[in-house]
Amino acid sequence: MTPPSVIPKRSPLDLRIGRRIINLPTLLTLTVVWMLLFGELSLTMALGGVLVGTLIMLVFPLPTVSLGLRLHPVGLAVFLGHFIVDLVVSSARVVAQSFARRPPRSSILAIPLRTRSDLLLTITAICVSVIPGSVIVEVRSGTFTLFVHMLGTDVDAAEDARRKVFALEERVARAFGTREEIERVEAGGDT
Amino acid sequence: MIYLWTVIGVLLGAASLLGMARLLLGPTILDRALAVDVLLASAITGIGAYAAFHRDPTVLPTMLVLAVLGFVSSVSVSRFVARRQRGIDESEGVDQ
Amino acid sequence: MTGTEILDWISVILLLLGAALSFAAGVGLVRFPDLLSRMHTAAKPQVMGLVLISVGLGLRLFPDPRVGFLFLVVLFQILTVPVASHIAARVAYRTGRVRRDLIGVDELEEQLEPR
Repeated sequence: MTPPSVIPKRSPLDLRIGRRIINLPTLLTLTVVWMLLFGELSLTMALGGVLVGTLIMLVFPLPTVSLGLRLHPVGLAVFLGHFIVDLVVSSARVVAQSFARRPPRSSILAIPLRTRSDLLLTITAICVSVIPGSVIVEVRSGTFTLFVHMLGTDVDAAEDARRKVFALEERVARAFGTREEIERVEAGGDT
Repeated sequence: MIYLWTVIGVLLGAASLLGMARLLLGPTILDRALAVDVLLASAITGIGAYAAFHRDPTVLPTMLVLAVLGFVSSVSVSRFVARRQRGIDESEGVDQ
Repeated sequence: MTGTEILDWISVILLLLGAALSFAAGVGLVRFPDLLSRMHTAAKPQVMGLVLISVGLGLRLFPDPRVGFLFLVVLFQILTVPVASHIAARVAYRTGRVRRDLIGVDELEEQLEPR
C-alpha cells in the first residue's frame, strides 16, 4: 500500500467511496469475466457482474499502481503476430528436442532489460515463459534483469538467444509502452 | 473420422501414462509436482476432447477449475520445498 | 461437404495436434535428464496444446454462448503458467537441483555467489 502521505495521482477513471477506490476499467473487466462465466448476455447478468465487481474491489482493495499502459494498434498487431509464430516454431523445436537421441545442453543467461517499467518487465517475462524453450529462473526487479534457462542453447548460441529476448522486449514496448519507454528501449537502455 | 478420434484418445492416454511414470520415478518432490501438473494438463485436454466429441458444453467449468487447481498445487508444493530447504540450511548453519 | 462438416474436420485436426503436443510433453517429461529441462516440456505444450484444444472445441460448439468459457480457460492458463513455472524453477535452482554437466553458460551462479 502507498503510505497515506503520498496521494496517488487521481485518474478520471476512478470512483472514490470513502478511502476505497473503484477503478472503472477493472470493474468492466470483472463484469465481462462474470458474463463469460455464465455464458449469457443479458441485463441481469451485467448488473450482477457490476455488483459483484464492486463488492470485490471494496472487500479486497489493491494497492494503486501506476500502470503507464498505452496501446499502440500497429505495434500490438506486430507483437501478437510474432508471438503466435514464436509459439508454433518453438513448440515444434521443443518437441523435436524431446525426441532427440542426446539430451540437449542448456544455458542460464542474464538478460538486462532496457525498460524501466514494471508493466513492460512483467509482460516480457510472461511472454518469455509462455514461449517454449525458455523458463525464467529468477527476476531482479531492481536491475530489471531476467535470468532465463534456455533449452538447447549451448555457449555458441547464447548471444543469439539473448538477441531474441531483446527483440521481444522491443516489440512489447512498441505495443504497450509509453513513448518514453519506447525511446529508452530503442536507445539501448543507456539512460 | 472416428479413427482420428481414436488416435486422439490413444495419444492422451499415452501422455497420462508417461506422466504417471515420472510421478513414480521421482526422484524429487518437485519432479512429482511437475508430473502432476502434466497429468492435470492431459486431464484438461481429455475433458476438452470429450466435450468436443459429444458436443457437450456442460463439462467446460471442470476445465477451468482444473486449470486453476494446477496452478495452486504447483505453487504450494514449490513454496513447501523452499521453506523446508531453508529450515535444513538453518539447522546446518549454512546461510542462504 | 457442408459448412459444418468442414468445421468439424478442422476442429478434429486441431484436437489431434493438441493431443499430440500433450503426448510430446509426456515424452519430454520422461526423457529429459534434469528438472529444469523437464520444466520446459511441462509448461509449454500445456499452453500451446490447450490453445489448440480450445479452438477446436470452440469450433465444434460454436453457436453455443458458453464458448466464452474457453476464452477464460486459455486466459487463466496464459496468466498462471508463467508464475507457477517461475516459482518452481527458482526453487529448483536455489535448492541445487541442476545438472551442471548439461549447462553451457550460467550467468546466475556468479551473481548468487557473493551472498
